[in-house]
Amino acid sequence: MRRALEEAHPFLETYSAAGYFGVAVDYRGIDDPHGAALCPVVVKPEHAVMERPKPGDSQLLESRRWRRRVLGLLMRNSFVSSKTLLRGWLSTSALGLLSAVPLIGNLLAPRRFALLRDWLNQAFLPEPRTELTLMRNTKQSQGAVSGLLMGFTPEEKAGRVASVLGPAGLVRGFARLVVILGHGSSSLNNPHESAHDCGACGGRRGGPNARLFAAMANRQEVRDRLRNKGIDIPPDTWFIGGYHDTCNDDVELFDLDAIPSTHQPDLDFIRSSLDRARAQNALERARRFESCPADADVERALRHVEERSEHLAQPRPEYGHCTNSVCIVGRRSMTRGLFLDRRAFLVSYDADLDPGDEGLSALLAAAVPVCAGISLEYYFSFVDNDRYGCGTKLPHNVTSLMGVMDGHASDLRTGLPWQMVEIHEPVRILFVVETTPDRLEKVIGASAPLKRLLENRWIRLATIDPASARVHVCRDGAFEEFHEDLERLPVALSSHEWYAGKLQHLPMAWIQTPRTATGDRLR
Amino acid sequence: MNAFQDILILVVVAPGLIFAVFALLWLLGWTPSEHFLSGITGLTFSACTAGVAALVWKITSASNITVTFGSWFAVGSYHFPLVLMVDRLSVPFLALAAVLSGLIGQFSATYLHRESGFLRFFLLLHLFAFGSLLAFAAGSFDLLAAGWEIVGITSVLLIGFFQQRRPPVENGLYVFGIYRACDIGLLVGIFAMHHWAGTASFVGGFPTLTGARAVIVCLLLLLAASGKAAQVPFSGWLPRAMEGPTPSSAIFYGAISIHAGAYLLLRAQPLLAQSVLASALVILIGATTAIHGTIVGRASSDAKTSLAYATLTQVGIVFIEIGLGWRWLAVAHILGNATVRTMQYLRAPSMLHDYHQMHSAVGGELSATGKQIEEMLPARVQLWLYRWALDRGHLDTILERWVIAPLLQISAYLSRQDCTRTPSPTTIRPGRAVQVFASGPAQRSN
Repeated sequence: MRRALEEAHPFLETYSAAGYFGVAVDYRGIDDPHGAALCPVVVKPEHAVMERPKPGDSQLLESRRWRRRVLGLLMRNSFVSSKTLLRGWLSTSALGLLSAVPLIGNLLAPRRFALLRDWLNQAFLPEPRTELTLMRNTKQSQGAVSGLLMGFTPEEKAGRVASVLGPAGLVRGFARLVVILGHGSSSLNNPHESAHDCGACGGRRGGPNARLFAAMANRQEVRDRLRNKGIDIPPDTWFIGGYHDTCNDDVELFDLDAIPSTHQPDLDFIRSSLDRARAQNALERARRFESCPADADVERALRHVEERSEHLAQPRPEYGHCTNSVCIVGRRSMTRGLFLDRRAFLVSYDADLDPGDEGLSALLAAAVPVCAGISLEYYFSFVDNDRYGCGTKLPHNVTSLMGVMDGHASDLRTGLPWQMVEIHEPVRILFVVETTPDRLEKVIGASAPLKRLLENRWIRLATIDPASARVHVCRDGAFEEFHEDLERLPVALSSHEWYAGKLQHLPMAWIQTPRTATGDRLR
Repeated sequence: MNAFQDILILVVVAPGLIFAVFALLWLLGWTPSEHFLSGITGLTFSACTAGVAALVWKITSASNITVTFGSWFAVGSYHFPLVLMVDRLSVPFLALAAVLSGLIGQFSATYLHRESGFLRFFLLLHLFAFGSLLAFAAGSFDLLAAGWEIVGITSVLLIGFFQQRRPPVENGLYVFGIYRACDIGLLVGIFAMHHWAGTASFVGGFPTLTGARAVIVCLLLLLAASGKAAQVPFSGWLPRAMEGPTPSSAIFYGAISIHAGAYLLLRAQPLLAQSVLASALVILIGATTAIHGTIVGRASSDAKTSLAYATLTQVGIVFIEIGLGWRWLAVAHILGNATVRTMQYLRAPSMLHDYHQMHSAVGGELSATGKQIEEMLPARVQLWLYRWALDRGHLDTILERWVIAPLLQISAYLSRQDCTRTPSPTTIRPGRAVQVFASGPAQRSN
């Protein structure tokens, strides 16, 4: 997605960070019955944030809640009663044939049927405009959510924002618009749906985190405090939170009505760039799907991935992190224009701005366990899919509302299904950190979990010197310089030229698009 | 021969022809692409659906459609009549089979994409469609039995679809055993009809049987119908049949195969109506199954088993309706039940998602569904009933201990007698099927 954006407009700049954006919260949206932790599973959130309707829209929310409740009870009762003796008799013989409508609709025209459903939702369940409860209100903080602090103080907000922007190296030269994109994935009829969601949000969808981060960074009192930390956000910079659905490549932007009217042209521009990029991203992802025609154009590819996420019979809505093999922690200038075939986790980090290495240790403490966990999950699910994975999805049977088993009786199947890992290449993940071996050794040595991961060879490690670009590889606990001669990278004029019509893994390539210096920044 | 007769022949024969052609080509070493195969499948079932629509139109405005090909073979006074007949009873079933086969084909083209058994699945789907269309369009019990057996064997082969794992094959064999045992009822019933009435054809009137003969034939057909429809005491095979891919579970055990037994009884309705005893037995079996199904269903914790018992409960009620002679209510009930279950089976993997949705929609208080009927019982009975339901009414154990084990003992005794009397050193060892058949329920009762 980042490469697609940069190719869409060469003066866009992109950054990336762990998908919870430093804001570990217990979040409750307007439709949620209770809060859920949006942060890595090893972190316990201390703050609670709620979504609430804007003052004018609380009436709308009330009617939405009421209608959803009626619909929910109707759904539940019709489902339960269809399985009982007497009510089931009435409902199956009188109303049974009605279920042919969704069956035929969804099987013959999944995308159109989903559009119809969305349209009906819009008409009958309009969404109120909402805002997030950001402010720390000491009186309310005890009562509302037990044991959690309500919202954040300005000091805490500034700390959260700085913890992401600082290590990422985004401390000056801000563009007029900065878009923060969280991610998740939506698919139908898929017990493993949340396996495609954001790992850094505890397997949930990271949209609220991005929205929260942007709302924090837009506040004047936060920016004042950030200035003391050396992060100078100019007054004409505006942050927008957003959400990228990695299955259908939809991008949603939040709180657009709050954007100053002076930024409208910038918004139009970024919206069109995002639309171009998501279509390109869909096209590049579609190359791995046998069921998408090899000569599909961007329109067709976008329709194809949209249909995938709405298809009742689709066992592989997306390939997610499949084929992941490397995590690069460093400046984007090191990897910009590099075709990595969607196989790399990229974490923005600038060693020059982090002389004490505090930023690096915080960053690796989150990134290494999350990326290594994801990578090993794919690794083991692939090498022995029957034992460490959960086999083919086709005979799966949801049991106890908890997990899946095979057929009518089997052990609970854990791990990933074959359909999710079938194109994976099982390698232990390589972390390439843009720093010096000494500094990295110090950071790893100070953290017991990272040391264990490295010493027990669950991960591999290398550094690239930010000044000299020399590469050191960690072998048996010691860094040694990497000397082997490398072939020159092949060059392509665009990503599409490099991958078009190819189904298999592709080697790296150098995508040469013209580039200028200034512009908007993303993520 | 008029156009509608041609249409009827085409509707029934087309899926069978596709099966035969592709199976032959496959044996010759040619594997069609997924795209081609699913395209052909879509085309075949669209044509079948259109054909059935034409038949529906014809049937509502005019009389039955009959096609006679003469006899397949004749031995003495017996001949095997090849006769297709469509009347108001068979047309809804033909429509159900054609439409659902098409939808399941459409679903499976995506669901089984890249699966190594893709061709095998589609071959079996076509063979199954041919079998069920043949059974529903047959003009005589002889031909109906042919379609019935095709449905049975494809059902078993699809339960064992994942051949590389042990449980699907074992459970497939278990189902095969029950099917074979109960199909004796159909075969002997047809034999009896020929013996006593001289024909098993129901074109232009039912074979005339009276008194005890009618009752015996009814009971034989009831045995066959109960096995196919997983009625008590044969219900234990139904949850075991959930080993195959989800779409095959949907069409077989949610829709067509499970209701084929009801169709057989509906066909035999004129005979059933003569005998109070047989009708009462149909009602008794149906009522027992419905109650058994709803109690066991309440205790089952996984999506497909609870759906299996939900289906079974309604099929039990369908049996009651047939026993009472409410034919058209039974047909409407079958159509509704089949459609709902197909949808629910296909959506079975959504159960987690759906519960999240409903949970959030009602505001987080999903567990309160009101009073359960079983709460009215004393606590000790509740506990007993729960254990009873968890073991699915001990039906498998009862069958194993009181039917299968004695049979095996008898056969062992007979083979011992054989061995002592004949000098031949060959001893009959129980084959894999028999062993599996015996060990399946025993494992569960441990």
